[in-house]
Amino acid sequence: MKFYSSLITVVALIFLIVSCVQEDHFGASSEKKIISFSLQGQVGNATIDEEQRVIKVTIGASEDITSLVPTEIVISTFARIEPGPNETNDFSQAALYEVTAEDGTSAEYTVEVMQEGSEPQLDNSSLDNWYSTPKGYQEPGNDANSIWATGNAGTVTLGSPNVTPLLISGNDQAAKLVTLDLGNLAGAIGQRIAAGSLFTGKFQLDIANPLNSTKFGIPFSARPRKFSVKYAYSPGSPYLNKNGQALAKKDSCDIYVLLENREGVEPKRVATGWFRSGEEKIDQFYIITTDLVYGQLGANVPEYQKPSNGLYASSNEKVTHLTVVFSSSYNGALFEGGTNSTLVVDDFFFIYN
Amino acid sequence: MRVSIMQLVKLLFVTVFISGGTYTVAQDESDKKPPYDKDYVFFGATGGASLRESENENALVFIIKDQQKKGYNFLVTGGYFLKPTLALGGAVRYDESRITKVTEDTDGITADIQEAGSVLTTSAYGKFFIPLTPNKRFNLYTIAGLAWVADRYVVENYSQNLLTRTYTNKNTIQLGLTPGIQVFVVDGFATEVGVNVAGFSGSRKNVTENGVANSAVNTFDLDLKINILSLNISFYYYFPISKK
Repeated sequence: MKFYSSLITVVALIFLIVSCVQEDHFGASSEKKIISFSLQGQVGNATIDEEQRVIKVTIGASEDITSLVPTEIVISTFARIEPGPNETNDFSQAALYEVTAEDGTSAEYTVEVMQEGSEPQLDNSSLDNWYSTPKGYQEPGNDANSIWATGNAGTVTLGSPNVTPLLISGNDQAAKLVTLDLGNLAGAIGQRIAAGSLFTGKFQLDIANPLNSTKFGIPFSARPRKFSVKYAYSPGSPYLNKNGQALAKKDSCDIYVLLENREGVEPKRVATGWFRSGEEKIDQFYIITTDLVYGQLGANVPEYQKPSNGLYASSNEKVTHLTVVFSSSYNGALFEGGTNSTLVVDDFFFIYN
Repeated sequence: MRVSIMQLVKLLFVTVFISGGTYTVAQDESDKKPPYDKDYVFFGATGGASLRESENENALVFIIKDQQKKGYNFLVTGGYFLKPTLALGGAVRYDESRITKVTEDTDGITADIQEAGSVLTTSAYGKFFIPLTPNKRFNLYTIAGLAWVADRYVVENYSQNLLTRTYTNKNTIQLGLTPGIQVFVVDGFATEVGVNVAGFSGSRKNVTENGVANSAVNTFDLDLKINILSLNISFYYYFPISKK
């Protein structure tokens, strides 16, 4: 009796101690990457060369390059970084950051900071460069780090991509945006119409709340006076609402630029430049030049141009973010528009004088 | 071990048939020793293992490009007869599972996932026997037991350069009654069919994500109904440890 009960007890205790799966069952992680890096006064997205472990960042012309604080550093889970993310650093020369993994191994990253000129243009604002995504459609830019994004990731779930490159001549490409009727299934969930949408920012698909998928805006600090772009537009029909009901409306496209200050809890509008087309067909490239209005918009300005939170920055507050949007249907955010409305845009640039 | 209702019915028929035959023989051999008595012990052990491999398995919202699942379990139990119809026993059951897989979602984003889990159950119980035949080859029994279940599970999901480590730690105390039928088919070897009829369990589950406490759940259950689908079929060996 004693022998058997002792044997069972010993066996149970041994399993208690050694057999149960522990949190570190798979061992300490060796991951030691800097996944994203952004600096105070940054312009555009940082590029990270993982192979060479070199990070390149561009900051605004007015920033003090000798004293900058990273606004965000994302590193591998369980890793730590030196110097810390809140420490001020001198970036006039290449700065070194050491990332130490959970298992104690480390890697050194070099951060190179460039200061842009006082009149910067956006990367790939000619819209000539496009890259292929894993799902087979194309997006503007050289890679997934592009400052430009589209709603293609959403439309391909029920249809085909509605922002595509359009060859103009030689290496000159434009962006073609088409408003798609996604059919009855999409209509049943109130998302019948998908306007072609190209913007600065990121698109992270949120199926539960599609409007939350678009993350508008990129870091930016300059103060342009106007923007200019080539466009052609063909309003489509029938004009359908989100449930697929035909409405007695004609479509227009929207092209707008918003400068914001996002240093506080709520973003504040610094400047607004908005072009909404007429309802007529523009079948040749037409160059528009639109003023950016700094400060509060007047009472005569249409409501759709005004900030939804009603907040404006004062004249001396700096610009921290830029949003540029092209949409083939002005009511695309309401999932309505003219079927097959087509907007072609090319060669966007800022005018500073 | 779980069986279907049909399998159970068949088993009961076979058991009754065999026990009837055994009873007839036993009446003629009344001088034989009973299959259990004071100072007897009993011992049982079961185990199992599984391996499953798959490629490009469609899981609706993602594809499991490559997956391997493997696991094993074993149960060791034994007891000692303090009295001719009362035994005290203990049991240890251990289950371990491992999963490694690569998934790809509808956006073409891949994830390397590895999972490991273990469930250790230790229990102590009293087992009361009611002989239905003079030679004790056909019996009813009731087990009153207390068990502690230590359930541990860790998942490491590596996707888009980010590792997420989720660790679940669950401890459960169970108190229950399990009546059943026992038949000695061959000398010393018994087949038992039992069903859980009443029980109490209390558990606490803690989940951490990347080392940070994520959730804690306390559960208390009192169950007085018969769960006919939770039938347990077991095999035991009974033998004396001292000469009478």
